[in-house]
Amino acid sequence: MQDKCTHCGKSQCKNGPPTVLVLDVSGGKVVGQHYVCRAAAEALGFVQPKPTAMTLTAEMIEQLTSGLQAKSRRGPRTDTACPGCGMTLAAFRERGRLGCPRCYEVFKPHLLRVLERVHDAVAHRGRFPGRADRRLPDPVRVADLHEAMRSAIREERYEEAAKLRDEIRQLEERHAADPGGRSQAASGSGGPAAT
Amino acid sequence: MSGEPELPRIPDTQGPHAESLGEWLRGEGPDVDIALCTRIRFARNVQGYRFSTSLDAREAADLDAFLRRAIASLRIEPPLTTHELTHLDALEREVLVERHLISREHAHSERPRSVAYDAGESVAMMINEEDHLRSQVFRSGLCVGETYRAAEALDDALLGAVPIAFSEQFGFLTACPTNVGTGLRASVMLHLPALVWGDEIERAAHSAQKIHLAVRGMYGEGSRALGDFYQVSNQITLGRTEAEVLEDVETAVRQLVDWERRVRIALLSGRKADQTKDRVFRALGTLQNAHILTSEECLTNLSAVRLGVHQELIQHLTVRDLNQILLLTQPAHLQQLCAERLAPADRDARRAGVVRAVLTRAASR
Ligand SMILES: [Zn+2]
Ligand SMILES: [Zn+2]
Repeated sequence: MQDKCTHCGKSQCKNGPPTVLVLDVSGGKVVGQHYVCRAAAEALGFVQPKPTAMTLTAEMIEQLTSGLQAKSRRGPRTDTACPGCGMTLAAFRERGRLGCPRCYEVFKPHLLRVLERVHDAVAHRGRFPGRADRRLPDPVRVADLHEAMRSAIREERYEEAAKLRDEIRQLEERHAADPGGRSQAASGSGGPAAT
Repeated sequence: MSGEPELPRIPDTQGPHAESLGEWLRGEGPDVDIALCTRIRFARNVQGYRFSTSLDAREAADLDAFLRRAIASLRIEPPLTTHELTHLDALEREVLVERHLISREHAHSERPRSVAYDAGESVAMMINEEDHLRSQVFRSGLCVGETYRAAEALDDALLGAVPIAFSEQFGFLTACPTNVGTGLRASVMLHLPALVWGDEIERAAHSAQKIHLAVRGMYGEGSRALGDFYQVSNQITLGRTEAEVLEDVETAVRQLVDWERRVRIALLSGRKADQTKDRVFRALGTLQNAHILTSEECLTNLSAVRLGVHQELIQHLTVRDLNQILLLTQPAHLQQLCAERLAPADRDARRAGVVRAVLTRAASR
């Protein structure tokens, strides 16, 4: 076992030491090898996530997360085109560049995985355009709540998880009711507005 | 052989003409003996347009014109002048790259595109690069906070004038997901010869990478950092506030600066002192006497001489002399100075000529 995970560079992250050996194979021959930690291996799709040891049924998870993930679970097919720019998921994978601001909504399920890998985060914390008083209170973000909910489920604190789910719903509904507010992602029309 | 080409007239960098070096080589500011320059960059895109990489030529021209007008209308200090890159020839664009005002990609792209910058070259806004706008602010020396405040003021002015693509969840939307969120890249250019000579650079770079900062050589391809110049910058733009990112960069850079300073002192004390001085003065001798200098040899020797100047082994040269050499010996500057296109082999002779001219001027002061 090597001392550093080649994916996250840590010798010991919160997911443990790098224990997964990755072999680079080219033309039937092993041309390189390196170690990554379990979490990185799962994120990169090298190994299947370990089944969790807890006594949680599929229905319980579905119930806890219902409504939150229903939309995003139905990920786009690779030939789904962004209505703003015509970009497909396949084209994005090939070029590594998105076509327009709307792509972020259209390819959200796929992007969440990319962002998790690149930034170790899926939600913005930082400046908002406009006046200072339009900045959100910093500490509470939907993503943090999601994370808290996931660990509550993991640790079988279901009552708390349900509470967190309701909080997330409330936040999301408040934002949905204020589409002209800060969220401008969905309003990009694709082509130049001037012509 | 038809005799040596005349030495080009070297512009003066002392006194009021110092701005000819640009802000990043001004050679003044906190910790400038190790940290040459701080740079803050924001990536922004205009709402209602596709990202630059997906625009057709006419849309790109529309957007370019729109943003040139918008930038001209911003009430900001210092005032910016806008240049359409399609109106410049390849050499002029290459000069802008060497002055860090535009990226190599921006110089070579085929899109209608522009750049706006001020006379002192402390602000540069690229229009229609990978993102619609890449605003950069430079400050000589290590001053992350001050540079950020200037960049933020510029960004505030922009956000007040142009509708910028933004989402509640993902922040400022960019063509590449690696920039989304704050769109902020904070970087500091460091000169780390002692860490390189003392074989500490690998360890130093690794400690920065642990906290998600990139450490890469500023010149040259691959992992080898020519001239011992390194750039430290944040990788993560999503999920961390601007303040947190700035603190990460500042903390890591301060550690590297302190580390470099300790090793410099160690290299100049005890048994190592003679070796170090020998290395510094041999480098100076090479620069003073060589008639052919490749850019690699030039950068390597400049690095040793720069260390000698900052550690006060060499008294008659200033950092500005060295910064001028650094700037003028790059291929496009060299050709502009000589007012002709030069084949690489001819460049090496001209480069040596420019170096000697600057050093001779310094010696006669
Ligand atoms: Zn890892
Ligand atoms: Zn799109």
